[in-house]
Amino acid sequence: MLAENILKYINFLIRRSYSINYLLLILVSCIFAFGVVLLYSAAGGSMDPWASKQLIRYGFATLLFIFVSLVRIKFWLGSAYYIYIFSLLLLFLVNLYGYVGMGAKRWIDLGIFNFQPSELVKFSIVLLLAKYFHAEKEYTFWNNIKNFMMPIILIVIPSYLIFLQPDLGSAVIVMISGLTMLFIIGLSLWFFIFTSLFALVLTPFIWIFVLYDYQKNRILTFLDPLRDPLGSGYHIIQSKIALGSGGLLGKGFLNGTQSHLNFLPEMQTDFIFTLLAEEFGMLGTLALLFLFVLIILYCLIIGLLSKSRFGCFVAIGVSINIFYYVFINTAMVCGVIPVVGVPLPLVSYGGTSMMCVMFGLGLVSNVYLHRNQKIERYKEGLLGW
Amino acid sequence: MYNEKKIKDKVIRRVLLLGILQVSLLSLIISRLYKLQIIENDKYKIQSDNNRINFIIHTPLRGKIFDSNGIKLAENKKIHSLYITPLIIKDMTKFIDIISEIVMITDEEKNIFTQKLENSKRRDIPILLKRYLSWKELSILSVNIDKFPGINIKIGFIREYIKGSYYAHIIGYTSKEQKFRSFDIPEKQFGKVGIEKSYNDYLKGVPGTEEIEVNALGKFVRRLSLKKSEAGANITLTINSELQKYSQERLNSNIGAAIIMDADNGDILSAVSSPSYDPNIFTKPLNKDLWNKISKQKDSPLINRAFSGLYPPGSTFKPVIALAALRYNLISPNDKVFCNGVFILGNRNFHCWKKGGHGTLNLESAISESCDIYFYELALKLGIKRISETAKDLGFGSYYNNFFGKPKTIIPNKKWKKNTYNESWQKGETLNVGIGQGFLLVTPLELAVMTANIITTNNFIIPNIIKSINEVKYDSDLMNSAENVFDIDHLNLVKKGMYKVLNSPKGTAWKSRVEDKDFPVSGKTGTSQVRIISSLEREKGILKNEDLPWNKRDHALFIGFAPYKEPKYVTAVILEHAGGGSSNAAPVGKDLLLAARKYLSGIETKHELNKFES
Repeated sequence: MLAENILKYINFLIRRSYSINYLLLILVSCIFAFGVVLLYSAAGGSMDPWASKQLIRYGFATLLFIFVSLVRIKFWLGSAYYIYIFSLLLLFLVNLYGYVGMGAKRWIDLGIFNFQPSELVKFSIVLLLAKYFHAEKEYTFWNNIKNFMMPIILIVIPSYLIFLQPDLGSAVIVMISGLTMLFIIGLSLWFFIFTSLFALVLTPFIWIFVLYDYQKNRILTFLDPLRDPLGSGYHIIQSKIALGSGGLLGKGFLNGTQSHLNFLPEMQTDFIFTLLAEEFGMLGTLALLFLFVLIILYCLIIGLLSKSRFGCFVAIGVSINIFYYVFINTAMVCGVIPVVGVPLPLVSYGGTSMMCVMFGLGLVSNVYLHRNQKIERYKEGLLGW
Repeated sequence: MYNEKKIKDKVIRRVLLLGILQVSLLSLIISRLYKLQIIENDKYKIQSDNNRINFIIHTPLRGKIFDSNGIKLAENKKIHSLYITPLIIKDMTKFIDIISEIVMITDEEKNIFTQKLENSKRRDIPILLKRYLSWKELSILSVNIDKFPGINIKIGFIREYIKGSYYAHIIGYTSKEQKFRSFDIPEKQFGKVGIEKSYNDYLKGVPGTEEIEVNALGKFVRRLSLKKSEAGANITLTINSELQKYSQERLNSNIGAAIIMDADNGDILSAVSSPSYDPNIFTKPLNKDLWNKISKQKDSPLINRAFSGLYPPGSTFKPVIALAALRYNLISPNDKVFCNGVFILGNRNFHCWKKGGHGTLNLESAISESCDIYFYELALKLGIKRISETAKDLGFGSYYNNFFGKPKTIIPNKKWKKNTYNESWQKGETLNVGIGQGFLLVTPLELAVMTANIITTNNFIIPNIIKSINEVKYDSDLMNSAENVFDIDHLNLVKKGMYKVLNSPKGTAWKSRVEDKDFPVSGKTGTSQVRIISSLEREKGILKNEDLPWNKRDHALFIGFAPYKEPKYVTAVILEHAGGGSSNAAPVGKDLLLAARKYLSGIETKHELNKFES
């Protein structure tokens, strides 16, 4: 019986898989291809140590994407809070027992690989907020204070935990993505105006009491990179040189001098965009940005196509997240904002970030699959099956 | 359902708003990329090249300097300097403390190092900590170099002057070039004085350049280009070191100068200026105290008296007057002049140096006895114009080359006085010039050249100090270009007069004669006053030089040549405030000529050479 059921289910999945959103997968693969080429170049023209590992991860990530797309949407609706709670627990764990790398506790050692819970949080919050506002039955709630305060608290807790690690970049992404989602969901503009004012008043206190010295330093250095050309300013200066020297067409594949002569630290992770800019020039950077725009736009469209509120909010939430990811990373390497340590999604070397982004995009694909399905507002069963 | 639709509409509106935000943020990124990658591309390309390319200049070896016999006078000495690469060292203060135990580091060196460290933008570039490591320091460092990562020992070269003070005024010295950044070139020297300066272009060589690609740690990746340095040209001087040494020691504690010249071609065989100094102190960074001491010393050792010292020539100028008078047919050799000791011009009395006068004189005896009255008369007949023209024809005030420089010689004439004092020329002033006094100021080199031109009957002699450059015989453009403008008979008459100065009992330098038939020394003495003798003083009796304060005493001069018939060597000696030329300068000049004979021809004259007679 059981075996038969499993076979049946597999058969069902295969039939369903015809309707996976392949356009999304193709776009993702194109961006990923950029990543592999750049990692190959970053290693000085070698698949090791980065490109080959990234390819394997991409295989797993694609499987994850397909799995997440194919599961019934009600499963995600049902498990949204649990995933949130799970990711929050991981955050606590990492803050207590985390493995310290690059001056911060960001990783949990899972034996085979290190896991960075902050990456998961970015998408678990999307699920949480989508579910929260999906479940609201009253339509007068849009101006209800409770409906603003509750989600805000649920956003602030993880972002504060991430901030403690300390990982300013991810904390900011979680915060602003959450707030942007609340904005999209339709909360009154007054909330946002008040929040902005409140934040403005709070800024000096944050500067004095909250920010770590190294974070303050980074912000100061951002404002004046020559303040410390060999310390924190080094990143910005060298990264600008790499970008600027690339020109329109770049120095050519494997010919980046800034990157290959080690003037660019972390060029395989957070600063991979500069490697692209140096070797492929403005054309390369525009091409990659264009692909990201397509994905972000496509996710938004899928969200708007969805007949269910949950699906709509999930797709738009993922889109917003990816947008901020890309924006903060590129703005950081161009010297528009301080260096905060955010990877370029799908391109930078790193497993957790890629897995989580693919998980998010899998959700979008899932929403696309179930775009015509209407979901009752009230809670389903435990896992929604 | 109505509400659901309302919500959806709101979401769409908000998404559009978000879209605007996103588009503007994206344009921000793209405009930024455009600015960096397109507009400022050139700037960043240069910065990127600056990052990766280290430009190294290889200092060429400076050319060596030899004397005429090939004895090395100036060469390059290897020095070792200690550099520190800041990138590799974590605790610099502690590191310096450890190094200080091995290497003597002064506080000044430490301060300079700290300053450079703070100003340096690249931590991978080594910074100089100590220059001139001693052999002991070097060997300890070399053995322990593995224990101190971050230390670099760089090799450089500084100048070494082997003969030290004997050649200070001729060769001069080099100094560190300031234009180059110190980390490019450990020791880049350029000539400041003397041959080192005038022939710097020959000596300096061509620097080599090398471009290497380095990584962020400053480690060598690959060589992009290399142009080897070319060593500078070796210069051989006409100077004979033994003669040079003898001359310097012969002048002893006198202040003055002495030149010995080859009578045939103007090659300078020795040229000394006393006092001298050790040029080696200038090749290392000079401390201020020492510099102040040397530069403010009263006897000014830095001045090259032989080539640029200015003196009234006194009686050594009389041959010029004699030659001029013969040239313009104002006298015949046997015209007699009676000297009673005083020459009256208008209401002024011009005295002869010999009280009571010389009696009756012809040209030869006037030269040999150095009668002032005779030359007053000639000068008056000649007029200042003809005197100054003849002087210029004998080489006074000539520019030969950069090394000898442009002398500040004064050969006065009417125009000169008008320009300088805005006064008209007085006849009495012509009389003063007639005995080598007055406005007249000349250099010892010019006196030597003048002597050479009087005794040489063929070509006009100009001085030369370079024998060859890189083994190629040096030919000055000016050399042998001009002909002697004077009549041979006239020259021989003056020459005969100069012979008698030492070789007739009445001659002023009879005491300095050389009784060797093959090498009779001839010449002319000179005693030039540096003060004006008033008539009151003359009545009381002129004070003897010994009774005067040092700086008021007369300069002693001597010009000479030997042997008489076919002169080989010419000399000019000036001893500042040494008193009478016949008793003080003539013996020195005679000794120098004998020494020239000894060291150049290898013939010892029976006459005993005076070594340290002052």
